[in-house]
Amino acid sequence: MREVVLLGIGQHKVGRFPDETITDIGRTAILEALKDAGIEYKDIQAAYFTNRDERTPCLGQHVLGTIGLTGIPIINAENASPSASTAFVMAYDAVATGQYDAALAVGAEKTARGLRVPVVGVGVNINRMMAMAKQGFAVIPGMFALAMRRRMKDFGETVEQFAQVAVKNRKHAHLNPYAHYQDVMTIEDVLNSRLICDPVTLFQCCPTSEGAAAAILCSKDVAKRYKSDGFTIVASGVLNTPVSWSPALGITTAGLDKMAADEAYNMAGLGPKDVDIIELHDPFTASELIHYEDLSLCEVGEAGKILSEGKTEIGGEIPVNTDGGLLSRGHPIGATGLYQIVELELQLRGQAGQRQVEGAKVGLGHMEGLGPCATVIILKR
Amino acid sequence: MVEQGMKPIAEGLFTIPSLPGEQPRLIGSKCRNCGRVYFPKEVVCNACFQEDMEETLLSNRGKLYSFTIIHQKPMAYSGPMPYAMGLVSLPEGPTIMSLLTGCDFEKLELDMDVELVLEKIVEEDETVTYKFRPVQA
Ligand SMILES: [Zn+2]
Repeated sequence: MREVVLLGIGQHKVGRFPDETITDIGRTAILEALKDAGIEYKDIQAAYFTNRDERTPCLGQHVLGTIGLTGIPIINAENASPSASTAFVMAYDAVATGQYDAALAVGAEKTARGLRVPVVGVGVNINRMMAMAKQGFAVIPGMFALAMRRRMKDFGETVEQFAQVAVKNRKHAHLNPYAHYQDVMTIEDVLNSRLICDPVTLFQCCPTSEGAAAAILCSKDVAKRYKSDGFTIVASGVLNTPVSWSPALGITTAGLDKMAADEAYNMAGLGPKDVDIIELHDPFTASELIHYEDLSLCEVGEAGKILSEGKTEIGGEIPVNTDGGLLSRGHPIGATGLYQIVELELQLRGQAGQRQVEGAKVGLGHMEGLGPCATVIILKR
Repeated sequence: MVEQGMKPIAEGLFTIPSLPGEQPRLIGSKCRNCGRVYFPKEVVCNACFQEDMEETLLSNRGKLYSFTIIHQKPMAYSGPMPYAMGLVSLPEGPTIMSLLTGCDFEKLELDMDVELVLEKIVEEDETVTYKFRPVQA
C-alpha cells in the first residue's frame, strides 16, 4: 500500500438553492477542489460520485460532464448517509493500491424535504416493507426517540443534555459561513421546538439540505508535482457493514460503529487519545452521544457526562463537529461525508478561521447509515 | 379483538385465533444450527449464515425496551395521531418494533410487562396487525 495524501478540498455552501441545479452545485465543489489541489482536471484519473435522492442514472457523468469528459472511469455510488465518505474510501483504496495516482471523490445533493422514511423503492421485500410502513414504523427520528428514552433510564441522561448537543453544534455553526443554520440557540429553544417523536423535538433533527463537497486524493510521490508545502496523510479509510440483528442493538449503546472505529484506529496505529478533532454523524442529538461511545471517547454510559463537562466543544479536550455537524452545518445526504473531510482538512491546515482548534494534528471523520453501513476516516498532518 | 373477515397486514407475521379463548401468536424462525430466533422470519440465519431455519411461535408476552409517541405522520400510515410505538423484548431473544395500545400514553413505562393483541390500524379498514399493551395488574 502506498501513502495517500489529501491534495485538495472544495465545498459549496450548505442550504437551499432553488436557482442552482445539482450539476451547478457539484461543479462548484469540484472546481474549488481542483484549484485548491493545484492539479489540472485532465490529470484526474478516476472519479467517485455519490448522491442519495436524485435517482438519475450516471449522475456523476452529468455533473463532471458540465466541466467536460476526459475518458476516465466515473463510478456512481450510493450508501445512505455515508455515501460521500464511501466515495472517499473508494478513491483512497484505488490510490493506495496503485491503481491510480490521482482520484476525485465528490458528493452532490438536493435532499428531498420533509420527514425521511427508511424505506422506498421496489425490488426490496416490498410487502414486508409496506407492512412496516403502514404500521407507522417508517419514521427515522422515532428510532432515536427510542434510544433517548432507554439511555435516560439506563444512564441517567436528561432531555437537557440531548438538547445541549444541538446547542453546541449550533454554536460551532455560528462560526462557519458555509453552514445551513448559523443563528445561536438555547436549550429552551431546542426543547420548545415542535415535538416530532417524543422526546425528539424539531431542532434535535438535522435539516434536509442541499450542497456539494469534493476531495482530491493523490499518492504522496506524485503529489509533490502539484504542491511543495505540507500534506495531510490519509491514515485510515474504513468502510464496513456492522453486524445488525436487532433494532435494539446499537441504538442505545456503543456497538454497531465501534467495529469500524476500532479498525480505523488500528489501521492508523493511533488511539482515541491521539485524535484532536472529530466530525461525527449527528442526524439526531442522541446519535452524537451514542457515537462518543462508538469512537471510544468515553466509556459506555458516560457520553452525557463528557458533553456536560464541555470536553467536546471548541476549547474542550476533543472538539466534535466544529463545523456544526449534520444538525447545523446541515445534511446534504450524498455529500455530507465529504463536508466532514473539508472541515477536518481546514482545521489541520490551520485555516478554520474563528472556529480553529489550535494545534490540531489528527482528525477523525465518522458516518453511519441505515444501512447498516459505517465509515471512519482518520487524517493526519 | 379479532372478528370474522379481518385480514392480516402481511402473511406469515402472526396466527389469528379461530377458537374462543385462543391467543394470537407471532410467527418467528429459529436457526437449527445456532439457536438464534428472528421476527419476522428469516430464510438464512444472519448470525451463522446457515440455511437451516424452522418456524417457531413466539411468546405473547414481553418487556417494553423503549417507546416513543409519534406526533408527525409518516409515509403510508393512516391510523390515529399521535400514536405510540415501541420496542418489545421477547423471552426468545428478539427485540421487535410494535405499535402500543390499550392504555394512556402517560401510563407507559420502560421494562413494563406487555402482551400481544391483534387490532385494526385504521377503524374503517378490516386489516389487523399485532400490537402490544400493558399487562393488566
Ligand atoms: Zn444460526
